[in-house]
Amino acid sequence: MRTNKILLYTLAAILLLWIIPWIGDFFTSQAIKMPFTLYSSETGDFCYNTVDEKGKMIRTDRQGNIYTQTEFDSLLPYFYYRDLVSQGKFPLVKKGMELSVREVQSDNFVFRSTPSGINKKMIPLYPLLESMSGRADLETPGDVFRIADRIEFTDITKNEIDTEKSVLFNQLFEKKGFAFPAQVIAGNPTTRKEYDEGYLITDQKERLFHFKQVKGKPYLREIEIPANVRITHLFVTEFKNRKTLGFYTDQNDNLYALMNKSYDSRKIEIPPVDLRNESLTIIGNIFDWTIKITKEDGDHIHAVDGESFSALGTIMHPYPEPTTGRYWVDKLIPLKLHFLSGKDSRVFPRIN
Amino acid sequence: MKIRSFIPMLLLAITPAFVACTSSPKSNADTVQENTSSVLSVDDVLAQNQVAPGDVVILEGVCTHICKHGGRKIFLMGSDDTQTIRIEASTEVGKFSQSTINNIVRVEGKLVEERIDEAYLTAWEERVRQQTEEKHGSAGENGCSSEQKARGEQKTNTPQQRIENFRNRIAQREKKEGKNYLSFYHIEAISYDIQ
Repeated sequence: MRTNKILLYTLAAILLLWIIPWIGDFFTSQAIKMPFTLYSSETGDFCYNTVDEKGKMIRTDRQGNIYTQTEFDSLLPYFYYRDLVSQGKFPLVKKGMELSVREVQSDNFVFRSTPSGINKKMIPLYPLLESMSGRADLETPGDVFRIADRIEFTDITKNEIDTEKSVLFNQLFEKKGFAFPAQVIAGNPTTRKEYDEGYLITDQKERLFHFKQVKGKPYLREIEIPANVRITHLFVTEFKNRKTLGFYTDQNDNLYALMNKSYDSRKIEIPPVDLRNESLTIIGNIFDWTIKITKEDGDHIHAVDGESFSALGTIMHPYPEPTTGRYWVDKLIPLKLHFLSGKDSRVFPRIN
Repeated sequence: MKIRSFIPMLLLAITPAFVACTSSPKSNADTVQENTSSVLSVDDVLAQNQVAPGDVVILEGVCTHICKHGGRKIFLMGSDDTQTIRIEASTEVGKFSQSTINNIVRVEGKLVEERIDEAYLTAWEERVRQQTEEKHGSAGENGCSSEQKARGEQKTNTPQQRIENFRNRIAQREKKEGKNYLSFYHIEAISYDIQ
């Protein structure tokens, strides 16, 4: 009887630890609208749009200048190029270059990495697209590969190992000295992209390889990376302009761009970014990249040159102060039990 | 009776097949396809496994580039873009078809060694000075980028920089191996076939 009571009270305490903070959060949650910020090569500084207390959109900059919609379009011509086209402002003449709509469009890109995407558990099976199909549209292959003690292709319709293809690819991996199994395998296994560059893979000796399929044959090239760099996260970019092959971070959370064709690694001059806990967004254009790192305290925004990746500027937007209700909920309930997190997709008890 | 009439009919039926197999003229493509057992990869040829300069070889690779300046050269890639070899059309071939690009091409041809030494570089400098150098690549391009890649060259902006880079590489080789030249290999194609 006594044991039952203890169990009942324990269960009730756990439920209260979960339910009460949940109710508190439900009634005091606040929608946070962070300013949308981009670096303007026109002013050489950041400008952003935000909303005032009355909910009215304001387009401004650090100096407090207020801009009209048309002025703002002109400050960010590469982002709002469609509006500039409708205003008849193309071709643009910038830095002595005459830029067509097509050129601006092809150099624009958006890259995102979120903790939930990074921390997600993936099934280690990867489709390998044909990167030189000779067709405009990419096709989903009928097989997938995995890299354990060797590379192995499985026909997904028959659920059978494709021995012939596995042997052909495995021979090349062995010839190139690939140390099995792979550590990090990164790619964009989708047909909704302009072209395919396959995968970037690190092996057991922490060497980086570029792997793709060209006319049904394996392409595997070791990529030289800077000395003492150990890759922790890898991304294949496949942007329209084909300037970069990928991005990666090292053991110190430094971000690098891996250039296409030359395979050169170029360090991007921003502070370290912990991709397991922080979101990264890069909005790039022909001349500069705006890089937003979302941390616990707010948005840290950096601008770098689009060619040299040297720093152009930085700005920080802190999160707004919590509402009174929110403040008291946090004060009164310091211990909270919850099962979900925005940083991963797993369900298990977490206390903070 | 039935068997007697069947045998001549059978003979009549199979005779054209034998005639067709033996009397058709051999095209370049047929010659290349017959020797499938000895087809080498680009990697093998560049590593000079089983082959030496002057040998006639059959090799296969993905055509990554065709010289726009008359289609006399193509570049075949092996297991990665560092394994690329130049294929030059012989007088028999004339020029390569534009459809070779981005396709697997099987080539029969002679492996040719090309040496770059100080005399070669001096003559090149002279051609640059007199502006008589043969132009390859698109306008404004410093030579054919595929050819530079096949030779493991660094990206440069002027022919003079390329020449200087070659001089440095020769100096390094002389220091290491005692040889005052660089060897590059290409294939002089006798025939080719798009797979």
